[in-house]
Amino acid sequence: MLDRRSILKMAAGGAMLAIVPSAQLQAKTPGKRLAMVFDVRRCTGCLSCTVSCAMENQTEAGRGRTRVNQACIEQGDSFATLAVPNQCNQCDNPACVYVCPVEATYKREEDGIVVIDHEECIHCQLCVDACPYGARRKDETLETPPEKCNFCIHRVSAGLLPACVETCIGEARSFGDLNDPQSKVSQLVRDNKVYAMLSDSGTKPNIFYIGLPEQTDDQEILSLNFLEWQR
Amino acid sequence: MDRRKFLTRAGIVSVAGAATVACGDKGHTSGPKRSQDVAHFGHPIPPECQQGSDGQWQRTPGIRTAYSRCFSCYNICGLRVRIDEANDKVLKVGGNPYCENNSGAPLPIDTAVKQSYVALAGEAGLENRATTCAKGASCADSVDDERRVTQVLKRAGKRGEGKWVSISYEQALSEIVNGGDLFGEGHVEGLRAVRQLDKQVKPGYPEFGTAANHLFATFCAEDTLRGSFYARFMQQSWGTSNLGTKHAYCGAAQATGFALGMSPDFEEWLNDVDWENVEYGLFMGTSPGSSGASLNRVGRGLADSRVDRKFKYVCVDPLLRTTVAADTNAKWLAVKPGQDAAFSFGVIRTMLEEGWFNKVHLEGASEKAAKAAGELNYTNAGHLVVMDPKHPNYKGFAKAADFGLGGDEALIIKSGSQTLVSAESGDKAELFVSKTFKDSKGRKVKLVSSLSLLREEAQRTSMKVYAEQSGISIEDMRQVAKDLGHYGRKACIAGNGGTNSSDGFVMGWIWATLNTLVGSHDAKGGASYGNGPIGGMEGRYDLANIADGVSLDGVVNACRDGAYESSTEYQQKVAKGQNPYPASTPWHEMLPAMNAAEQWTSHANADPYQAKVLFNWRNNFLYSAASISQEVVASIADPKRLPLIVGIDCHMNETNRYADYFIPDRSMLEEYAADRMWGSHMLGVVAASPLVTPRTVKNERGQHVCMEQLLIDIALEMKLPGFGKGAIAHADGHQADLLCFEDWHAKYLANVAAQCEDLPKVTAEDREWAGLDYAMKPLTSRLTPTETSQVESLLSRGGYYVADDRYDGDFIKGAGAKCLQIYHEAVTQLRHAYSGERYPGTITYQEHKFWNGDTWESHWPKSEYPLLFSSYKATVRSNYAVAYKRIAEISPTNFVYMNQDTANEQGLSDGDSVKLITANGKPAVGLLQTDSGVAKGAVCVSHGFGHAQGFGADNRVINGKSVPGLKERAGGVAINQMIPSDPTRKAKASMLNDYWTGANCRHGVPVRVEKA
Repeated sequence: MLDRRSILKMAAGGAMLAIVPSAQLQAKTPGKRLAMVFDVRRCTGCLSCTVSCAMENQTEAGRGRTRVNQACIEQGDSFATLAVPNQCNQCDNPACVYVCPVEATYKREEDGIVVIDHEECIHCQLCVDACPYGARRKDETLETPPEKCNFCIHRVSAGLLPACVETCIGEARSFGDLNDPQSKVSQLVRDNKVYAMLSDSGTKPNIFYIGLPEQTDDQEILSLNFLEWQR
Repeated sequence: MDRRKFLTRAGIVSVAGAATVACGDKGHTSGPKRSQDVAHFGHPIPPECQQGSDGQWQRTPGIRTAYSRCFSCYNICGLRVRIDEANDKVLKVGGNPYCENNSGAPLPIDTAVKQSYVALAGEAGLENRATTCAKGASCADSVDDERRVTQVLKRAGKRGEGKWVSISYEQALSEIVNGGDLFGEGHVEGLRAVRQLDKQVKPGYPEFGTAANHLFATFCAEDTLRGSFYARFMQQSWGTSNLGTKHAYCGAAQATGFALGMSPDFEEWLNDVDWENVEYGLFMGTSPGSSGASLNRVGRGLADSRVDRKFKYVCVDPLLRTTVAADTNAKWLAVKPGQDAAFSFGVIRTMLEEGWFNKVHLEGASEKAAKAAGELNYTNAGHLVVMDPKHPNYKGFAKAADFGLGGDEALIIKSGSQTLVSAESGDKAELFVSKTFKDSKGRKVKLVSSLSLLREEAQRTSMKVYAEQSGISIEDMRQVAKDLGHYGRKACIAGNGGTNSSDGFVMGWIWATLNTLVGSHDAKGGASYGNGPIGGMEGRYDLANIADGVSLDGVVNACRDGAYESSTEYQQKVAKGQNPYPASTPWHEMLPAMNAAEQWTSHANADPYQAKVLFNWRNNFLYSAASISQEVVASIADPKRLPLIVGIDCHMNETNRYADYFIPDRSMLEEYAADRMWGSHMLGVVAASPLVTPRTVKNERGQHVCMEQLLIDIALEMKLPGFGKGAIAHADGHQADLLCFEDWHAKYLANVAAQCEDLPKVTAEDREWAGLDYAMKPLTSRLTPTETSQVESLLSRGGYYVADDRYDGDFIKGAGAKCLQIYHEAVTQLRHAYSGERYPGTITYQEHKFWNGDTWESHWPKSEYPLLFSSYKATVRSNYAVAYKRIAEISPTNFVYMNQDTANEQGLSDGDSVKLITANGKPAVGLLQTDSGVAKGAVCVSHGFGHAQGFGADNRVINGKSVPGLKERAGGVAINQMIPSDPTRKAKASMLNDYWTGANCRHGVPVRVEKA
C-alpha cells in the first residue's frame, strides 16, 4: 500500500536534494556521453513510456525497465502530484558492475551505456540487489538476465530515439549526448537547476531531473510501487 | 575472483573508474570481451529503420511501416506501425507525425513519408515527437491476444454460462435468419419472422412504428465507417429505430447543456482549450492529460503551457490526479462529488456581484455592436425577457415590434441610458435590467435582462450554502471568480463527463455560460472549437441513401426519444380531460440519445414493448452504463424474455457473454477508418486500412468473418434493400456492389479522399515507407483510377488535414459570429415529462432530484449513506484496454480512494477490503487506499476494472475444452451496477438519471462504505 510517510524530507528534517555540480555535468568522455534529462513538471503520468519500453524490448510481465512513481505531496495549503520517471541511470560509477562475477555487465566506453551481455551473463541476479535505484528487475527463476534499461541501444545505434523518449507525451524525457554542447540535453542542464537521484551514493548517475522540489526524499520516491497509483 | 587477477585481465582500467570507487572495493570499468554487436544486449524487436555510416536511412528488411489510426479510446489519434511481414504480426505502434492529435503540431502533409521517419530520429526527433498514450502503445497486442475470439460460436449451455461450441459461419447465418428449435429450449423466431413492417410494434401507439422495431441493436457510433455501415443496415435496410449507443452514459448531457449557451437552437457543443495561448484554466469533471480530448494533444498542450508559460489552472475534482503537477501553477480544489454546480454558482454569483466579468463582451447585443467593440461574438446578456406570468409571451424575449421599435428581434436598454431600443440597433446594452415598461398597446410589461435573470438565480442560494455543499471555501471560490475576471478572454473553462450527476446537463450549460462571462469563446487563448472531420457518406458514392429503404420519419424509439406531448399516451390523457402529467415513464426530448441503457430498461419493463432480438456490436452496456439494473440483466439472460441474441466482437464481454451466437470481428488494426480527431483543430481525418491478415475464421467463400460480412449476408438472404449487387450509386451513373467488407470502406475512403484538395503526390519511396502496396491491394479493383490514386494518397499519411492559420487577429480564424446565450428562449418551451414544469431559461441550481422531483436526500439520507461516490477514467483504462497485455500488467487493480480522515471516521484503514453499498444497487467490493489527495466525504473509484466476466478474465468452455480465465484481467472492482436506480420511476427496472435529459448518473451518488 502507498506509504503515507512524507515524500518531502522537510518534515523529517533530512538533507535537501543537491544540485548536480557543473563539473559533473560538463565532464567529457572519449566517446559519447549519453544521458537523459527528465523534467518532471512535464510528466502527465500517461505511462506510455512504461508500455512502449516493454513492447520495444519485449520484457516479461512484471519486469519492465522503466516506470513513473507518483505520490501526493503538500503544496502550499493544498496538495499536488509528483510524477517521477525512473530507470537505470547509466552511472559513471555503476554499483551493479562491481558485483558481476563474470564481467557480463559493464559501461561502454563509446557511449556510456551500461549493458548486460546476454551471452556472458550467468543469471545470478547479484547485480539487482547492488543497484541502489532498484533499476534492475530480477528473474526469480534465475533463467534469464535481469532486465534493465540500456537506452534502447538497438535503436540508438541505428540513429533513433529510445522508445520511452519518443513516446513521451509531455516531452518530459529528453535524451542525447552530453559531450555535444549543441544537444538538447546539454542545453537543458545548462539552463536549469538539475538534480540527480541518490547523489550522495557516489554512483554519478547520468539521468538529470528538472522540477523536483528540492525537499524531495529521493529514496522514498524510488521505493514507491508505481502499480499502486491508479488515478 | 581476486582483485589483482581481475585488473590484469581487464587490460585498460580507466583512471576515473579507479579514483571514484564508492561501492565495494572492486573497481573496473572495462570487461574482457566487449561485444560490438548490440544483439547481445537484449531481445528487442527490430527497429523500423536505421542510419548507415554514410548517413543514409534504410528501412529494416522484413519490416513494413504503415500509418494507421488508434481506436483504443474514442478520441482517435494516429499511429505509426511496425509490422513483421514474415510473421504477419504487428510489433509496435507509435504516434503519427502527420496527425494533429498526436502532438498538436503535425508535419506538413506533403513531407515525404521517408522524411517523416527521419524527422522522428535523433535530436530532431526530440522536437517532432508524435506520441501514443499507454493504451495506444499497448494496442499492438490486440491482434493476437490469446483470449480474442476468432471462431463463430454458438452457446452450448444456458445463456451466460460461458459454454460454447464452434460452428460454421453458414450454420450461424442460417439459424439466425430462419430460427427453429435452436437450443433445445423451444422454437426461436429467426430474423425473417421478426421483421414485420406491416404491423405496429405497439398496437394503438403508431408513434412507435412497425414490428421491425422488435430488433434492438447496440453499437459503437464513434467508429465512423463501420458504425455508419451498421446504422445503414439497422435503420434504413431493416427498419428499426432502436439503435442504442453509449452516448447518454458518456458526455451527451454535458454537450447538450453546453450547446444551450452557444445557439438558440438545440445542438451539441463542447469546447477545446486553445493551449497555445491560454493563461488561466478551470477544469471540472475532466482531468486534462489523464484521459481524452485527446490525451496526446492535451497532455502536450498542458505540459508546454504550464512549464513554458506558467499556465495557471485549477482542477476541481474529488480526486487529486497527476494533472495537478507539483511545482507548477496548478491548484487542486477538492469538490464533493456531484457538487460542481454548487461550486460553479458560488463563482458565478461572485463574478456578477463584484463585476468580475467581461463587460465589453457581454454588452455587445448584436453582431454590429460586437464588431464595433472589437469582439467576434455577441451575447443576449442584455436582451430583455418578458417576466410577466400573465403575458402571452411569458419567458420569451420581448419583441421589438410589440414596442413599436422594430421587428421580431429582441430589445435592450441602451447602455448608460433608460432608453428601450432594438437589440439590432448596434448599441451596447445595459446588462442588469429589471423594470416595467409600457408596450405599444399601453400594457405594462415586466422586462428583465438575461444577465439579471442569471444573477437572480445565482443569488437564490447563499455563498455559505454553496461552500457547504461543494466543500470548497468561499475564499477559494472568490479567488477563482477574481482570476476569471482578470484573465478574461485568455481564461478557459472546460469540462467533460466527470460531472454526470442529476445535473450533468446543467454543468455543460454552466461551462458555456462561464466562457461567455469571460468572453473567451473563439478567442485566442480561450475556448476553441475544432473544424471537425471530412465526412464520406456522400460525394462520388451515395452511401447515405438506399433505394426503397425503410423510412423512420416520425418514429419514436423504445427509449422514448421525443416529445412526450406528441405521444399517444399524452393525447389520450388530454382527450379524457386528465392532467397529462406525469408521464408514466421518462421521455427524452432534450437529449434524444438512443441511450442503450434506457433501451434495455424499456425492454426489461416491456414498456413500451420488449425486444425480440439483440444485435450487440462493440458495445458493452451491461458493464459500462451506470445504474443499469439487475432486472435488465435478468431480462437479457432469460431466453423467454429475449429469444435471440447475436454478439459481434473480437472479445467476450459482460454483455455479449449472453449471446446465443458469437460472431468474431475484426480488431481495430484490421479495419478501415477515416475518423474525426477529438482534440484537433484543423479540418481533417485520421485514416487507416487493415495492417495484417484478419484473424477471424473465413466463411465458405473465403471471406474473413466480421460484422459487415454478417450483415451483408443477412441482407442478401432476406433480400433487404441497400445491399448486394449495384446497391451503391456512383456519381458517374454506374452502380457499385455492396457484397463484402471492402466494398463499403473503399467507397467511403474514396468519398473522403475526393474532398481533400491538396493531397500529396505519392512516390515509389512513399509506397515503400507507408506500406501502400499492401494497403491498396484490396481497394484498387473497387475504385476508379482517380479514386485509387486519391485514396492511396490519403492512406500514405494515415489521414489528411487542411493546413491553415489558427488565428485571425485576436480570434480563431473561421469562427463565425454567434449570439451567445445567457438566456435560452427555446428551452423554456420544453416541459419536464413528470412535473409538467417548463425548463428554466438559464442555468439553475437545485438539489439532486429524482424523476418525480423528490430529492435524493429524502430517499437516501446522509444518516444511511454518509459519503458521496465519484467515478473517473483511469489513465490506462478504456473499453478494451484490459485485454491489452501490458495494460493489465501495469494496472493490476483499481482502488477505492478515500481521504484518510474520512476513512478513520468510518472505522476503515488503508488496505482494507471494503464494500460499497447503495440503496438498491449491487454492492461492490474493492481495496481501500487512503491519502490526502481525496476530498473529504468522497469515495472515488475508476472505471474499467473488475472484468471478471469478460475480456479473457472469464472462464470459458469451448467445444468441451476448458479455457480458464486469465486472473490478471479480473483485477479490481467494477462500479456501474453499484450505482443505485431511481426509486420514483415506478417500474421494475429503473435507472438513475439526469433530471433534465435522462442521461445516466455516476457522480455524487450517496453511498456507504463498510469493511467487507
